[in-house]
Amino acid sequence: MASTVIGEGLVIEGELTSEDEVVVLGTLRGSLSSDDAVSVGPAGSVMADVRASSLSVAGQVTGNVHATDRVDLQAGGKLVGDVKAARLTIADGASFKGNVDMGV
Amino acid sequence: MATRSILGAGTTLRGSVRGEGSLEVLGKIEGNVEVTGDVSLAAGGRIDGDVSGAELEIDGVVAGDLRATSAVTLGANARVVGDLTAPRIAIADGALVRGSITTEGAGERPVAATARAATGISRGPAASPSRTQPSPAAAPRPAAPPPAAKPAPAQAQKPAPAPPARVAASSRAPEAQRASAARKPPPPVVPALKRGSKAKRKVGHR
Repeated sequence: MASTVIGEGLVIEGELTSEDEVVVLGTLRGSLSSDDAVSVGPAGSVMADVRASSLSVAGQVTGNVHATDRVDLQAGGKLVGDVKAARLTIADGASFKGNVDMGV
Repeated sequence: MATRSILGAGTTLRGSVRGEGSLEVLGKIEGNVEVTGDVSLAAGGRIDGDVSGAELEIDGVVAGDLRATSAVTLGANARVVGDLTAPRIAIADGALVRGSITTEGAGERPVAATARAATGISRGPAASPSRTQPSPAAAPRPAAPPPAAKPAPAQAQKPAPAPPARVAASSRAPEAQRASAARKPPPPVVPALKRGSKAKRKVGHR
């Protein structure tokens, strides 16, 4: 179980920082920063810049993403914003708009 | 569907939380929390802001008001600076509270506010701060529950606004007399006014 879970139906507005894994099933507006993995569930919505070791998106993310490790955009996921990550996967059926910087 | 949300121990939030479902806080929140479900604050957790929910289970630090539609429970590690409002309130041995406690329906905010304002006099006897101060080492337990149980019903039974107002009026009257007695020096000023239009004004008024 992830240490931090923003449940469905919950709305957070502000600056969320965590040392541990964050799972967003609800709505987050502001900024999100984690030293560990961040995942956005199918019903999750993030309107924020995201910094994390890795990011998995099955819901919606609007904002710039900076991952030290990887970004996985899953089928049904939607990501609007620039991505900076060493590795990026985009599944068939995912939608994405933005620039990618893989540190080449 | 309202799921359970968790704010982990290593997590800090600067901002507000609202919505449906219950929330478990092990980390730190700087902002208000407003949920339809229960809120539990673990020992080591901290909330700087007002918290409202169905049932609040507090075992951490809160700097802000607690308002529950069902109950507020303070655990042994709880430290609360703020007002508590809920139909049911429980304070465990070891908990520290500084603020006023009202066991009333949390929905009736204005009523609670007016009652609090009107019973300003009864605050003295209730004096939760003064009780908490002398008893940090000895007995926070006997101190805390009684104010929750006794004064609150008393407040509830009184149609509070009226009596305290009378009391206030009667207490003000002597004050005014004393004040006027004490302010005898000013009268010399009044004659100064009378010099110019003394007779006219007296006639005019009477």
